[in-house]
Amino acid sequence: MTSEGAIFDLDYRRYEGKRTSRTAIRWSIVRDGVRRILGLRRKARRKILPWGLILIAILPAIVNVGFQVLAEGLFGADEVLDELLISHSDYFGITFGVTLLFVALAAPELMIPDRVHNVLTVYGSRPLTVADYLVARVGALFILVMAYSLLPQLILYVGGAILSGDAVGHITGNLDLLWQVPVGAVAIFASQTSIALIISAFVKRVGFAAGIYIALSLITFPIAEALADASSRWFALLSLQDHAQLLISRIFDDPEISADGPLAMNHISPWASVVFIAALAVAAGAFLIRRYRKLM
Amino acid sequence: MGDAIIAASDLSKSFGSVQALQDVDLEVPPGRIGLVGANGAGKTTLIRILLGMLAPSDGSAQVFGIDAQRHPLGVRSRVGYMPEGDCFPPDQTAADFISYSAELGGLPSSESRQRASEVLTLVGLAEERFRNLGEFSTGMKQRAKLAQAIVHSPDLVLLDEPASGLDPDGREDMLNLINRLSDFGMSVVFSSHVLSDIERTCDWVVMLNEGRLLRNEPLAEIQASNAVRVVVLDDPAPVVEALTTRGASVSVSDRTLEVVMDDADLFVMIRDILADTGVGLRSLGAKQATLEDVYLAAEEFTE
Amino acid sequence: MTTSPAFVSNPTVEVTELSKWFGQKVAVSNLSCSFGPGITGLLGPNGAGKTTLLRMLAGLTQPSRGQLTVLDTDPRRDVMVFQKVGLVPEDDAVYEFLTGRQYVEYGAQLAGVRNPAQAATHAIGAVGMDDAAGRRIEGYSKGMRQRIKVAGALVNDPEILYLDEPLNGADPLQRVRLIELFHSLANEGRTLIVSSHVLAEVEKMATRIIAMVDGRLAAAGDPSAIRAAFTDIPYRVRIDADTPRKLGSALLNHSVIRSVEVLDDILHVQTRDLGDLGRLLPTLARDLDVRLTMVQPEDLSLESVFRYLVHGK
Repeated sequence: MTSEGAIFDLDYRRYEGKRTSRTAIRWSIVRDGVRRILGLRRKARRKILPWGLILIAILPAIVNVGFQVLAEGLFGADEVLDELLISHSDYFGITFGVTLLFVALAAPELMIPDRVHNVLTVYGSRPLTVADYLVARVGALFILVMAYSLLPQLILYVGGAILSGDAVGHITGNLDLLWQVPVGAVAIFASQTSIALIISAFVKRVGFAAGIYIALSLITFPIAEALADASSRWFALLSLQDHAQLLISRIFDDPEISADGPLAMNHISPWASVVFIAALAVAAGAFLIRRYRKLM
Repeated sequence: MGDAIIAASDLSKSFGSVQALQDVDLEVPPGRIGLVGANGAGKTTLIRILLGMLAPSDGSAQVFGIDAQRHPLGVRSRVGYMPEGDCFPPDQTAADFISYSAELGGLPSSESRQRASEVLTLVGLAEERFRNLGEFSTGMKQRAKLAQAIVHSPDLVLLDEPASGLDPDGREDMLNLINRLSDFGMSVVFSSHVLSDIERTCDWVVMLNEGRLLRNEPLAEIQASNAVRVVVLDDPAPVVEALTTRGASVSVSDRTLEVVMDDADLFVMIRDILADTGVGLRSLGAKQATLEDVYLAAEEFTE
Repeated sequence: MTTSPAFVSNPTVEVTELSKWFGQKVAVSNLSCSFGPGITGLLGPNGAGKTTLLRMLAGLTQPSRGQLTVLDTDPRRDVMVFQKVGLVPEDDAVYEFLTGRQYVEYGAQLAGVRNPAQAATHAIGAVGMDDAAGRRIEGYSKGMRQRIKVAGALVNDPEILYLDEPLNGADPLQRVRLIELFHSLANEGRTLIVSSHVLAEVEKMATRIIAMVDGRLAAAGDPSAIRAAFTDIPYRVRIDADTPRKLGSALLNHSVIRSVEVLDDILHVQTRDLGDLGRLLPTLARDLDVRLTMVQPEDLSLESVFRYLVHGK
């Protein structure tokens, strides 16, 4: 019997396998974006804000559901309302503030470091286009904003089913919710992120960008009101954050939600709002592509 | 040239009134290619065009036969780039970001972690790979940049001043690593202002000046000369006399002689003269023009 | 009288048992040496203490212990002596929004130069930045920044100049010009201390080197003399010949040859005495009818000397 020995070269290995598709690369960028925003694979303190905001977003829902279910258990189903205290449409009003804060912080966190630290050079040398990068980044933001909006809604939905005692009935009796809630979440995303992304495209500091965005969101409200009063009512379109309220109002057919906002006060139709938001999104997209083409 | 890895035809690029590249025609074979030129001579512009990051004003460029302007993604899937400046997010670990870089280059995630680990070990960052890139020193960042450039197994790597900021040991390691890249099946374009580094690692040189191609040939051809250089230990006079008597032309500087003679075996002649005169030999060899001499001559020609 | 190569006979900068620590970390440890007119190369691995030493010599940091004398003055008694000193730091310590000329003139004014505009013009011309001096520094390439920094350090006509990686970013022609400039400054009697990692270039600039490792003085003096001081490391010489083994085995008969190695048909010999080998080789080759095409000492370069200093063999 012969004895054999061999050494294996632990040096560099060439990769001869199959290369992934461009779609897979885009998803990689999306995942990286999600991790970056949520502070995953990073220091613990990066997780405080995003996860804290998630908690704030879902807490009222949990409290509401928990309270009523508990009451039902204690006092019996007859004594307790079989509908939730906070309705789905009402809840958007709560979520809305949280998503505003979230977008204010997440959009800059997503876009600015890559630019400021010149990571775009790495992206630029890889087989992906500027559009791939931007779509993937915005995609990460989309996923998270949707999660923020939908998670508490899901809790309310499930809670409602438990309270009513009749799951199937709950579902069939609330079919409208199945389109209203997702569309409402998309409306919030569309109305909140365009400006945030534009600001993040040329401000150099994350905190600064977040601050500008929040300030802008607050200021445009009274300014739009004043301008609408003083001259054309169409100036009401400038109140950036009111659009989401108007659209939620229309989607859930509950005029009270947006009644005191400039848009409703100036009788701006929700469709005008949709057009405005869409135009803003297209403008943001064009602006971002032009800006990033020069950098990559 | 059959297997040119890089080719350019009438390549020109202007930025407004500045002509960055002008009518560049070249073909470069696989191997280790030095890219040399003044600041603003067009090196960075050429690299960016090859990576498909910039469109030429005129002409075309191909990498592995793929047109860089029409199919930039095709080029980039086979090329790695090590930029000169910073390019890392400070809050990610080296392992994490290099693994991500691999995925961006088209590697499946099942492979990317393992390859990131291997490549970081190769560049000497095995122990630091779980630390944040923001904490890395300049030398460590250089190594990480190289890791990022080769992790996705490219066929060609473009290196922009790879030894910048490294101390002598680090430079030695980096230059040795660059030499080994061709053993790993990669061609290398090494752009640097330190000509001695280029002479040490490259076998082909592309020289640019004010946007025009000055030289594009094997290093050996650039260095070739018909002179023999001898450095002696003592007074060279007897040697010089013996050589000139035999009809050689000799130029002397201190103890260094440069000897030219047609139709003669200078090596044997010099050996014999040294043996006869008893003058000690310090060094002997075919004279090699330094890249610096060639570069300076070219620069002054165009100044 | 000191005869150690760490000291020069006409020093302009002297340090005696100089130390600097930052908390627990000792950056410079008990350094004693001096510098004089001419160019001295300052070498060492990263973290050896070179930058800390230069900063102390320029008065930017106080020593923790020890003595520093600049132009026969104790800087702690007379801070003004630093007006005769110029420092070109490695980092980008320039103002982006100023033009090159403004930056240099500003430096001249700060240094109390009598005619700042004229001094600035002179300094800018010396580094070859006349054409670009009117442009803002933020548009400068790395090499241009480096040169304008040198101009900024030259503007007060310093007797002593510290240069930390001065060629960083400069292209090959600019490098040659800068080295020429440093040589002419040194020939004017100035003291230049250049710290650089590109040893091949330090060789072209400096006739004397000071090497630091871990904050301590590891070697000083002329590079070939330092090499000779490694008496236990024989010289390595490469020999290309048509019949290398024949020559190799003949060489082994001579006691001056320590070892002979044949790698890819090329002879590498180790010898204790380059001179003896140099006198032996032509005769031996002729007697054996061996054709020599290359004889090259392999470890005389500053890079090799440095490697021995830091790593032993």
